[in-house]
Amino acid sequence: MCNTNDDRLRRALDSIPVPAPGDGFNARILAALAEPQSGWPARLTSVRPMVHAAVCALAVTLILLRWSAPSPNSPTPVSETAGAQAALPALSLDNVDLTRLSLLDVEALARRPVPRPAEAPQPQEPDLHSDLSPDRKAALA
Amino acid sequence: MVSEFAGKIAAAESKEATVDRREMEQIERACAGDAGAVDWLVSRYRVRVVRLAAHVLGDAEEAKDAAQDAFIHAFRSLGGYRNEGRFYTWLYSIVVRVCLDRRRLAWWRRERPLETPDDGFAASGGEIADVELLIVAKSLMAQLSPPMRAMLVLRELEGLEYEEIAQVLRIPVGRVRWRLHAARAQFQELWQRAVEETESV
Repeated sequence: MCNTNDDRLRRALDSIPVPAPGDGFNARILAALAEPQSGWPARLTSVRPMVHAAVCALAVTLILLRWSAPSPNSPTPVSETAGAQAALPALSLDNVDLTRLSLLDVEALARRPVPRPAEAPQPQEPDLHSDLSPDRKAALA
Repeated sequence: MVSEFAGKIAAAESKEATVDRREMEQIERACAGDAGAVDWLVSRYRVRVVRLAAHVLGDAEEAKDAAQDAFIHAFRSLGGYRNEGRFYTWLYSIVVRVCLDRRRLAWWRRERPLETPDDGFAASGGEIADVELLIVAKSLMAQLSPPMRAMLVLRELEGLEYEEIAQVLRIPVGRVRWRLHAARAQFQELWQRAVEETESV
């Protein structure tokens, strides 16, 4: 009769059937030990922790590289815009005689909004009906 | 009375020391390649190793294979055993590792179910097992993870200390205590439920 939970647990675990080792158990082990062990499994076992560490390090490195590197297809509009913005005051200053201006005037000039260069005119579609009479054009329209 | 008890303890300690000395001699001889010493060590530990493997794996045939694998691993790497602990602690750590590797492989291959029929098992101890206890024990083991099963068997059946179990499983002692406490509470709950069910019937 078991009095405590621990005793009952021990008895319960002991009641679970377990296999008997059986005949030839030792002989199979001795036979396996007598065979020459091939080289690479033993070496693989000894270097397994290092291989695991190397694989983990490689995976982390690849993830970090993928995360930090910019995508090759994405444009860099920020840098181009910044370069254009910086070039505009310089262009405006080139057209002014700076020898007659004070430093405050130059600063004000640099801050003055510069008109953007006019956009290039869109190429017009060629008029395929230029040699038709006005009546014919109206009829086609 | 007291002196008689002290005498018995001293005799038991002396016997244990003799066995340990003999075991150390056999380990040294096995390390040198003596097949007789290997046979002696296998015979000494095979029942316990197969029992541990059977509880961790829950499969009779696989338990025997795993036990043999563990012995082969152990004797091939016997040079790595440097008397840092008891030989059985070192051997059990190999058994648990081999069993967990097999369980992982089985999970990857999805070959075997965790619980299998009792074919190939023989009742331990030679006593008629209490059916209720057996059912509750099986139910408990089915609910626990393989490392938890190993922990429970090492503590309750092999009688290892918490520190030794921590050494075998390579986990902190605190975790061993906490998990064993949780397993015992789980068993208590299952037992109470079984008793209530029996009474209600």
